[in-house]
Amino acid sequence: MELTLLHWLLAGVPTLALIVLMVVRNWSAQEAGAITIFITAAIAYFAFGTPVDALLVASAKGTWDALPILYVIWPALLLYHVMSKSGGYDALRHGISGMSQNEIFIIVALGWVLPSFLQGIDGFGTPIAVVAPLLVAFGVRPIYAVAIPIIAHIWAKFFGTLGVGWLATLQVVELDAATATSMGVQAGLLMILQALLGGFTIVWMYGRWPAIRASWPLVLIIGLIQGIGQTLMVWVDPILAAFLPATVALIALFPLSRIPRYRLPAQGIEERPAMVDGTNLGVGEGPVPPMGTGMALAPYGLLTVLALGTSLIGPLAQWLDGPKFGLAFPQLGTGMGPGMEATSQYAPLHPFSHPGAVIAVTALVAWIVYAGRGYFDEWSRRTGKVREPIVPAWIRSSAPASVPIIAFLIVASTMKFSGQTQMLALGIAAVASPYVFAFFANGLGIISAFITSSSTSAQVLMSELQLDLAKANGLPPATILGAQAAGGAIGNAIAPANVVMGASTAGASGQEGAILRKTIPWTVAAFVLTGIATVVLALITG
Amino acid sequence: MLKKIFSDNAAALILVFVLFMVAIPLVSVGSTQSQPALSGLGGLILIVAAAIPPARRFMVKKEN
Repeated sequence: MELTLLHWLLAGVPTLALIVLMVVRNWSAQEAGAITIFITAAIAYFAFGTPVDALLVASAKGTWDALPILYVIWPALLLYHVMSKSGGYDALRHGISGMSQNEIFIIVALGWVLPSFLQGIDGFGTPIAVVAPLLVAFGVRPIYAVAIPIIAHIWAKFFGTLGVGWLATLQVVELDAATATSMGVQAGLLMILQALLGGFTIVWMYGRWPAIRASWPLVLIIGLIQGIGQTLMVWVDPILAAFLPATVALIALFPLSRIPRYRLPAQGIEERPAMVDGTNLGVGEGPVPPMGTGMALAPYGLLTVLALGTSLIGPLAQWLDGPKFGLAFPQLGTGMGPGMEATSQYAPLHPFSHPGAVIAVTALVAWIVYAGRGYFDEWSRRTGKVREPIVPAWIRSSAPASVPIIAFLIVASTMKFSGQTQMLALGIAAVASPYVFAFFANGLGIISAFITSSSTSAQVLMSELQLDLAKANGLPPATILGAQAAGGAIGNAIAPANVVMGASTAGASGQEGAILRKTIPWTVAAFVLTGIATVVLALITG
Repeated sequence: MLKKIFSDNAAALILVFVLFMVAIPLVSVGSTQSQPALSGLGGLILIVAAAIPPARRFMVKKEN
């Protein structure tokens, strides 16, 4: 592919258009995503020479790529409606506020430790979709309820979902065992920054500097368990590198909640921008829920047991992984892009081993049990609200959340097959000297994750190119690939699909731009710190 | 009927979602079995689906 300034600038237009329309112009994700499809296709056709048939297939593949994400959103929204309409969230609020009266502790537990744990076993946005409505139930403003879990679980993206990012990287680049381990360890070291920066950021979001002063030991303990634990686990088993420390952090909450500093309300925090005015964990507020805390927690317990069982019990996981389906697509030339290979089953969906199946079973079981116990009628009676049927409400919330995700992935697919993504990366590498490139290496990961809304896809899209660029610049491949992994995780903080998913379950649909304005500063800070750390690692290991 | 769907945000986006889902098998079958009419129809449906959200923005805003 020949690099020209015009092509490089044009390749940046779709990403820029998305950011400007959503963040600056306040367009909804549906509108911005849909119009960007036309912008990307026009650039692909007129500037990159992509034929119309290839554009059609790229769009169809992009729509198909959205299905694994939608397979999480739809069941997660069903679970949300079941919990919401049965009084489950209010029961959780009452129960957990009995464990600790300290709002910072609750935010850390629900907004950081829980989504990190869920990311260890599940993925595809499950932690955001599950946690955002929980935080709203605790009185967190919807915009913050989405931004907090998005930022807080980033550290577990690469090694999460039982090492899927790690495995995807090793599939697309050939590395000897020592280089692979070095890459994993360096990625882990860079992700310590994400864990600590994520923890401090969510506490700052809650109550600014007084909150940080009140809780810095808690953030350090949790962040170091997660970050250092993950790095050490790379030597033992990269598949469990995120899951085990995330579990240890979850267990550590129980002894920490016994410490008066984290059991009793924090003092001296007057400004609480993340909280709805006048909310104080909701203790004693509103009608008494029809169920106890145990019954309200049961779906999340079931979710955890099912996710663990279907992932860690080998024969069961293998059996569930068997059935799959995908669509056939032909071999096509794509102009300046890499071309398309013929396939009989493109990106097959595994309906029973996908995390969406676990959430769907959880939601259905919760629905049946809660209905059998009469919680929906009882909660409707106690709140004085007419009982709204679940299915229409579910469809009216799920379909709108699905549209922007499809649109973003059509844009990603069109950019990938037309060569725009590769052109973007080549341009950045061409204008940067080796160590400047090392600084920007995680930026390529961020861009690819922003475009694809997936850290795994970011790895697949960019790892090979990063390896080639590292070799061409005389930089250590393990360091640059580690930076790519870190960037691919960071980019999820501004990935539109993640934002849309959280917004849809937190009741903040249409406010995606406002959520991005909360996560962009964190992303920039994480990019700069990771860039500096990458240069240091390149100097040490090069 | 169409106007009613267009003026209801959720209904319009449900329609867009259904159109996207209908388009992909058409493009797949049309492109793999060399039936340009089928993939063309799929492409047309994709274009209509992608055009609805921005079109609604301008039309609904204008009406308001």
